[in-house]
Amino acid sequence: MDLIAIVDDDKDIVETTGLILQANGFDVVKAYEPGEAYNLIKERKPDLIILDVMMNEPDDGFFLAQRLRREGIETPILMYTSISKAIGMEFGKSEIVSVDDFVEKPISSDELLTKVKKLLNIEGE
Amino acid sequence: MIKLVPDWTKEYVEFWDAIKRRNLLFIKLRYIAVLMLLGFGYFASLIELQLTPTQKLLILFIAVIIFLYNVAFQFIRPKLKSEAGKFNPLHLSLLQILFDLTALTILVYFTGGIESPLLAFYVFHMIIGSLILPTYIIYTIAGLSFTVITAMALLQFYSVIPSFPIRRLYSQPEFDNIRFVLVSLIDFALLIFVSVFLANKIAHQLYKREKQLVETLEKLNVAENRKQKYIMGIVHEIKSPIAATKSILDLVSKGYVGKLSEEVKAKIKRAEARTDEALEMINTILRISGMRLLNQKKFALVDIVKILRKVIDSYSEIARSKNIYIELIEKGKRKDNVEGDEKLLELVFSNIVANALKYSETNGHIQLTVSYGRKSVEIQICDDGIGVPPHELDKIFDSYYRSANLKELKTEGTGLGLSLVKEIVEQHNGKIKAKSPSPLGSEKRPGTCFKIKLPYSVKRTEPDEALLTIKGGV
Repeated sequence: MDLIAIVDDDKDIVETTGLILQANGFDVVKAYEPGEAYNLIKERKPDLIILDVMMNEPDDGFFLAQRLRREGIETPILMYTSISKAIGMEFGKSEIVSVDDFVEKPISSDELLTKVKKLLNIEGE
Repeated sequence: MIKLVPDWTKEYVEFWDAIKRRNLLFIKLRYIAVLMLLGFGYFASLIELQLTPTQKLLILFIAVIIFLYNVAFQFIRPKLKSEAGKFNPLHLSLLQILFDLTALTILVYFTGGIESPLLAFYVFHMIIGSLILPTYIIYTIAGLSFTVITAMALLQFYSVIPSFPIRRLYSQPEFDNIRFVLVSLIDFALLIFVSVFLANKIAHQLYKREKQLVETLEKLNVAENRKQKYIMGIVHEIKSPIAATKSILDLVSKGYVGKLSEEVKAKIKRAEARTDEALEMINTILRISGMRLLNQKKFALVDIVKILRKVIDSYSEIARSKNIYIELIEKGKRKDNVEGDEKLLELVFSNIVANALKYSETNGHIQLTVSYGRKSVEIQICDDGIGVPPHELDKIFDSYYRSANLKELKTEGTGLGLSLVKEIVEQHNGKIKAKSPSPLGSEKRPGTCFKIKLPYSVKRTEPDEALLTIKGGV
């Protein structure tokens, strides 16, 4: 059973994501701010991290991702973004930090599941 | 290289533009001067001034010389770059003044020295020089001119060098009259130094005022940026809860939290559609703010047809659901050298196609036509939808404008889309026009046509280029 960490300061987004993933047979752990998330990831060693790009401060998500990568944690990261496409600034893969994919909010359950499965190398239905 | 660029012109584009324009003006004026010089001999004979053969020959010779160096200046001028460290338009201005003053001095010498009617022409060069050259240089030039004329007058007075007075201009030659020489020299000195002083003062004041205007404009830009950032901040704050709501609705409608009755499902779908509208509006506003804020235009060669195909693809599902036929037609020999920002152009076409889909009924028809002209490519997007009332055609590009006949329709919209479209097209130096009814329309469904004309190359404005070069050069 794959363990997925969900990190976002929006509780509704965390709950929603959790529900979708649990209903599809994943285990989830949740964190609502970067410090808590960091400890959780260190302790539980999830197979995938879902991380919001802007938590309280712009770049919070990126900052955490960068910290994890610097410490050699290679867990795939799926990043939640809010305004990337809207302002025509699409983050390319590994452009700033090596995150593995992006999901733009609002979260569509289908898109989320497709990307999660892809990152965990699970064959699609 | 002499440092000609005054400190206050650093990064001040207007300065270079003014110099370039003035250089061109001087070159044009000089051709007129050549003609006048050639006409001088004729005019002199009309009023019975007696020019000696030497004088006539010399005037002709100088006229030819001026003509020749003017052709050279005209040839060099467009090749110069506005760089402070190298030979730039300002050096050309200085060179022009030095050449002119030399030619003028020779002419003055051969038309009577201190008696010459051409002496007054020094004033023009002093004024022109004051407008474009640094103060110390133009004062040096004025001093030099005065010294040369004084030396000439004295040497002629003492008959060290020969004099060539224009006979019959004065009842008798005056170059050997010390009182005339003295008064004329004082006159000349006052004339040129006062001209330089006044012109310099005025020029500097004008430049300072212009600079203040530019600075004010920059402040306005900063304020506008701050405003856009503020808007983005707020709109983003609004987006978060709506995005969360939509995420929850998606979860509910997919049955993750339990089975739904058909009635509840329908209502949830409706709620999803409404939140989608809100998100679409928010994204449009973010896009506009982002575009204005970052001014992020990346002009490169783009393939218009490829962009249109991509847009059509992205709407194929909606089109299928309403059974709307979308076709793409190419007219003329295909050219793929259109200059533009791919992302922004995609936004333009997708906005118009989305509108066409939104305001078309089932079994509608949307036609995209690309025609390649000589200088521009024209993209026409026509539908057979509800159309736009004629008196509202010119208003649809205004922000927040929604046509009266849309209010009866169930669809919602921001009215922001088309104003964004227009802004982007104009940033490409293109034009957009709307027409209704469209050729595809019928009486019941008049339809709308959007015509977008994009020039193959987006002309960049010169000041931008100048600014870049100055920044690199100073």
